[in-house]
Amino acid sequence: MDCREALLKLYHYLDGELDPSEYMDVEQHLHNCKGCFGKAEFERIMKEVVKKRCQKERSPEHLKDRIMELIHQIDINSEKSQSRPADKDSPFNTFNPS
Amino acid sequence: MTAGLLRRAETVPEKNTVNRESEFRKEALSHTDAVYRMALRLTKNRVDAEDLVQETFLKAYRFWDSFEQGSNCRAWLFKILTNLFITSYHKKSREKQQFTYDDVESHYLYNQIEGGNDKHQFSDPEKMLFNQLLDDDVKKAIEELPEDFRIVVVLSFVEGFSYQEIADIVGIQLGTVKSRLHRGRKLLQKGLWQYAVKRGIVKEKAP
Repeated sequence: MDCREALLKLYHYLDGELDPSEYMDVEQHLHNCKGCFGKAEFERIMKEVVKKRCQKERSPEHLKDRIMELIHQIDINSEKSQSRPADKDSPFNTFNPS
Repeated sequence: MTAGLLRRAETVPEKNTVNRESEFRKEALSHTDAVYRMALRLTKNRVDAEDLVQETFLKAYRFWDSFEQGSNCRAWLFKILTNLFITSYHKKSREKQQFTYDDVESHYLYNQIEGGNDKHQFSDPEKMLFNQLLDDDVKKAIEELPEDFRIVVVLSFVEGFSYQEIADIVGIQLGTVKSRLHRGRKLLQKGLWQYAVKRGIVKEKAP
């Protein structure tokens, strides 16, 4: 495998999208070619950095609470329409998230 | 079976509901952080991101019975999210994709650094460049990508989905995933370089 071919397959290599024999060929080339190895390392690190920098945010707690509340509401409404449409004493409080 | 149906007709089937909800909580809501982060990168602001996440989970819950247990719930949620974003969010925002770009060479960032006059500064170019970029620089560089490219870049880089999974999530051909990812990568590198210049980490080269 020459440099041109190795670089052509580099992104697929980094993304884990090559079959094992192609993977080995690229790896072999990178092992022997300092220039391509440098490029590959750079691209690999960039990918890692982007992932790391973008994975810190957490969804706000109030959002999770609101979603749970809304889906609970969906259930209550569907039960009402299915079984007891006129029931005004639907047990809103029977569901206790643990 | 008959007894179950009878019971359902007579009383509120609390057990089923509680089971369904707790199953959904365990299987689907455990992915809220990831779904929220994707929504942030797509909508670029917290308010719209929260709306999109909420819509995604409500839709997922409505279709929960059609979700094949044991299959990839995270991919399923991302599919709903991406679909909602592409179809409904656009109608709201009327954001037109009007983006033209010059073709960017491959390995743009590497070439800029390695090929530049500043080479002596970069005995360890990765460290030098990436450590000094702020989280916000990276996020902005992603958010500035045209939408089609941004979606596949985030799904691949940040979420680690395979090309085939991305094709299924976005509803495009495998070849399209590859070409968008390739272009997205190059554009992202150019964007990161521009932030590095802005931060004074590297010097802009004379044209």
